[in-house]
Amino acid sequence: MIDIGSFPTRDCGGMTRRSFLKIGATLPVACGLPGGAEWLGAAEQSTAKSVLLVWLGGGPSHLDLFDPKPKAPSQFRGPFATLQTHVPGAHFSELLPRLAQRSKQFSLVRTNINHEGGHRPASSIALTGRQAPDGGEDRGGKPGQYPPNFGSILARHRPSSDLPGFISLARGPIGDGVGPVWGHGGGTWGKGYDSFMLDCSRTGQVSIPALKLLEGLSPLRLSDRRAMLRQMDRARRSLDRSEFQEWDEVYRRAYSLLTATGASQAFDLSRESEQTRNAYGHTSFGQSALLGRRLVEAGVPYVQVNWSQYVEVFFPFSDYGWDTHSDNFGLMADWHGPLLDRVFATLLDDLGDRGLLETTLVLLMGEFGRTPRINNIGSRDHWPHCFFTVWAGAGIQPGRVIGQSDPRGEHPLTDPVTPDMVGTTILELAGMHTARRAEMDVLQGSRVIHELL
Amino acid sequence: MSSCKSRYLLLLVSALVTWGGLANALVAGKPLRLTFDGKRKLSPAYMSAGDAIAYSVHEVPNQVIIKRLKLPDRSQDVLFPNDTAHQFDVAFSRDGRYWSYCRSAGVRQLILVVIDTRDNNRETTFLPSGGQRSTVRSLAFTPDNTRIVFTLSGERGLQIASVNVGCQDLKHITSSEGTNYWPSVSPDGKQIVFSSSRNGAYDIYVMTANGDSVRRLTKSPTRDMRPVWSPDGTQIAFTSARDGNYEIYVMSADGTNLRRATHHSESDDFPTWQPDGRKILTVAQRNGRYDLYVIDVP
Repeated sequence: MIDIGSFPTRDCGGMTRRSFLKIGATLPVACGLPGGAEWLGAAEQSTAKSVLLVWLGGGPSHLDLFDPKPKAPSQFRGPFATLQTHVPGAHFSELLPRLAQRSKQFSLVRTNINHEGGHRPASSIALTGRQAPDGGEDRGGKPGQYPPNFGSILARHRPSSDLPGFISLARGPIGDGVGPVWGHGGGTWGKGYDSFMLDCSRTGQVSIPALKLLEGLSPLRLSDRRAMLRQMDRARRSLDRSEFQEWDEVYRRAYSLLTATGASQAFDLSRESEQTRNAYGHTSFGQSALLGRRLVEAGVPYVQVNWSQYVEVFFPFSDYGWDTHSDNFGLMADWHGPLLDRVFATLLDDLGDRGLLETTLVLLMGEFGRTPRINNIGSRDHWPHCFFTVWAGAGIQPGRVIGQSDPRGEHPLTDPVTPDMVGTTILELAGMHTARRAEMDVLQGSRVIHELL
Repeated sequence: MSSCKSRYLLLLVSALVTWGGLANALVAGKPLRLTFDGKRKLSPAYMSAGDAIAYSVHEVPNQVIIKRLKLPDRSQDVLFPNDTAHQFDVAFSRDGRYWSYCRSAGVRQLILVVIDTRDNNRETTFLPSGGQRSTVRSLAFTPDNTRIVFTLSGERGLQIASVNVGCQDLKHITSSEGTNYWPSVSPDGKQIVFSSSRNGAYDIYVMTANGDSVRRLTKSPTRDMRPVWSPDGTQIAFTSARDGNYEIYVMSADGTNLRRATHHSESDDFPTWQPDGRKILTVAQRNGRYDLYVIDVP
């Protein structure tokens, strides 16, 4: 890591603090990329100007959230009651009272499936729509073999001017204790199409995990080229040639981003009212969702708001992901359920109040669900055979429940919704129709989830 | 006067001084806010001397630690500064000798840690059987300071169990269908109140200390959880979602005379009785921030 600066932000109390930026190997660069300038007008023809994916890494339990089975035997149903929604035939877990009240604002798919049961390959598949030809993370594959992430595709299709086309909000590369999710990036298109990663703390401080700007170089001072050059000279002397070349390219892009007026304004949560920030809640996930809304508002085509960096809950390094092999029911009651309910409901309200829901496709999902049968230690394990996605906004007919799972939530009773159908639907609604997908050689041969439209 | 009696007298005086100060600071009916950082907090517990509160807090995104709030001057410190793992569910024996908590031990497992403060802080641990992912949560000492009752996520599912303070002599207390969680031992040590999903959603039940004579105390359409006995054994406080979000309720120990203690659109959770039984400590969310508050008993 190389220190190359910092910029001040204000926390919710109006205090000035320094948010440090770091530079490193996982540079986000899905901005200003070649190959898409001729498609700049595509957004005008599409329904969704932006896509906002809320990613619940680790595998949220479908039975304990959006697809409860109160009549199933006790070894399946879990300890939570169900709530009536405003959609006939749809019940949610009692952990989601706010979302149950807003059930007319979104649609629910209950029959998603994935092709893998491990976090990293399942996440890669969920985020790219396809399996890696060499087997992926858990089967001896290598990075760079997955097709590009949906966000990378959209960023290339529709490059934005000041801001990156694909921004992911997390403390660092998402993944598990073994390593990062390979499908969270450009894949076969190369690292140049990876997401641009931003970290948003619970106090609303925004930093770039992969960057650390020269100490004392604020956004205002970034416009002072002489100051920047002095800082760069100092940094250059401390680096060898290869390090500097990498750093220089990284820095150039970061500099472009941070000196763009639109970017600095989009990152500044202190511009939000206290009421709005409170509504999202002062957690990293809550403030990240708010930042996601601001980025959408600023015109970023694809934003991924991550619940956590790691899927794990109780690992010493982990940050309370959704991989609830242990203590699923305690965690769901203590933290995961109430926090998800508050933040996602607020996000829907906020987007709706600002008129952004009409032009923003919002998607809530993880890589899979969790075992309907409660395991021998009273918790739930991975379950890729049936789980949920929640869809709202641009092009989505709200208030629908798509698909039905069996009485125990183990398998779809209706047609399963595959990861490539999810990706195809996202891209179609974002204006990438069949011909364009064929031209870019992405997600061909699948279909849109037409039941949502 | 024996040294033991002297110690208890000292504890009693200390507690009275602390409660006196708190009582003066309290405006009748208005919650008293004890912390102001807004960070996510869990499972507060009064330390046995009564002059401090320990609680788990998301101090940084990737670590939950246990902090101690000293009530006389409101200063705070980290209770286990050398422990870099996640730390949950701190509990203290009534005599103050034993401190216990749940520690993340890798591979998603939480183990029970017991520290004997009168034996050079000697640490013993209980590793739940049932594989790497089994856990111990929600700790409660018996009033005779000899055993710890907890929720065991082990080979028999999610059940109530106990070990002695040396982390030996595991005893399974429940073995019902559904899950059993959040045990609290009555002040006389004869009963355990807990939540169970044996009949559907979580409701509150009471049983004898060995798991017999289970009686249902609540029947709510949504979850009732985290029941705790009042120090005099006559009342039980708990968290319920029956009114749409988490609120604190109090009922008589036989399940009658239900009263609602909090009324807010945001959550009120983790009730803990003040040692004198006159107030209840909670973790409340206000304006999206989590802090410790002391509220009146309705």
